[in-house]
Amino acid sequence: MNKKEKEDLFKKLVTENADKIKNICKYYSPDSASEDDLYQEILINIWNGMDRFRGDAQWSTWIYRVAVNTSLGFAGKSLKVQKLYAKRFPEEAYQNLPEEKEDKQWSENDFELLETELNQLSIIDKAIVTLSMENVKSKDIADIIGLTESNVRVKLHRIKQHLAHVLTSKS
Amino acid sequence: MNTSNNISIQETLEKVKARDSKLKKTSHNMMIVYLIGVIIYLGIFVINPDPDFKFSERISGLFYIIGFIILGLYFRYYKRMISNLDYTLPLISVIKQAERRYYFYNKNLLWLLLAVLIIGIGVVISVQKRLPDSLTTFESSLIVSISYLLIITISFIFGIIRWRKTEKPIWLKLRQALKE
Repeated sequence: MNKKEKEDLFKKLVTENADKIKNICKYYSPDSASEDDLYQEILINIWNGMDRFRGDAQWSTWIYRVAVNTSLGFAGKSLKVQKLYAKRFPEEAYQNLPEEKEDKQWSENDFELLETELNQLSIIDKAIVTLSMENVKSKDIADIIGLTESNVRVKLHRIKQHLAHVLTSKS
Repeated sequence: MNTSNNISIQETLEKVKARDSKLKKTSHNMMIVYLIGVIIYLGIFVINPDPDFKFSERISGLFYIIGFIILGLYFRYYKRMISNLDYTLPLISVIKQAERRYYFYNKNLLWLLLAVLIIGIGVVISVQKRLPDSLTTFESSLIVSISYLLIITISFIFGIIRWRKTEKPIWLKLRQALKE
């Protein structure tokens, strides 16, 4: 792939996947300024990683992989495990997370509790949560994270159960 | 309003190109700095035609140069490793890589220790000659060695404290994630 082809492909990929990337950025950023920085960082890593793409996954899955890895803080010289900002999740995805809370109204206390609990999850579980928020299929989540599909399903079920339990018992 | 919408792809492309070129330049500059260091020390300690310049000083200079070369290569390797980090791998693989990178006692530490040891030999050879003549070579070498070792040990302890404060919590998180 020459430079021109790479640039064209990059533009195409970013245009097609901009919303997905921005959503991931939003979950891991406290405000829109940090969101922009993270978005730039992800695009830089997409550009730098494009030459390494071997076609073993779809481009969209690969982009999620770069976005999640970058958002979790694996980019750059210093590594820090990023916090999730639950209040920045879209409402419909939010309702979808703890199964038992589907019909309830979310109070400020619920949001805070959920955010605290989400940030106590392991890095892998955090990634699973953010991807499930985006309605990414379990098979693709497995590919992004490097787990088996059944493992992802089990983990997601356990996370939901745990969050539901915490929310019903504490709120 | 989502301000990310305002960032054009063209602008981002310019930024990535600028960043790539900056990274390349920084790596190149580091290489040049160490190369210059080696050349200067080579000139002063090894090639220096001054007949009064003692042979032991030349030998100590050689040790400094070898130490600098190792340090130079170490930082070159470190820079390359950082710029080649692959975030396109599955998360588990990225975590495994990061976990290895953030562990204090990784194999790269051996190269640093080797450089410190070699420079230490150079220090002992050159500094012990400057101690009072009343001391035997063994005594003065012992004093310099102990002083050097003390400085290195203090630096090492500071390094461990810094690692424990800043990097160990992250390393523990990564390790825990892998265990799970």
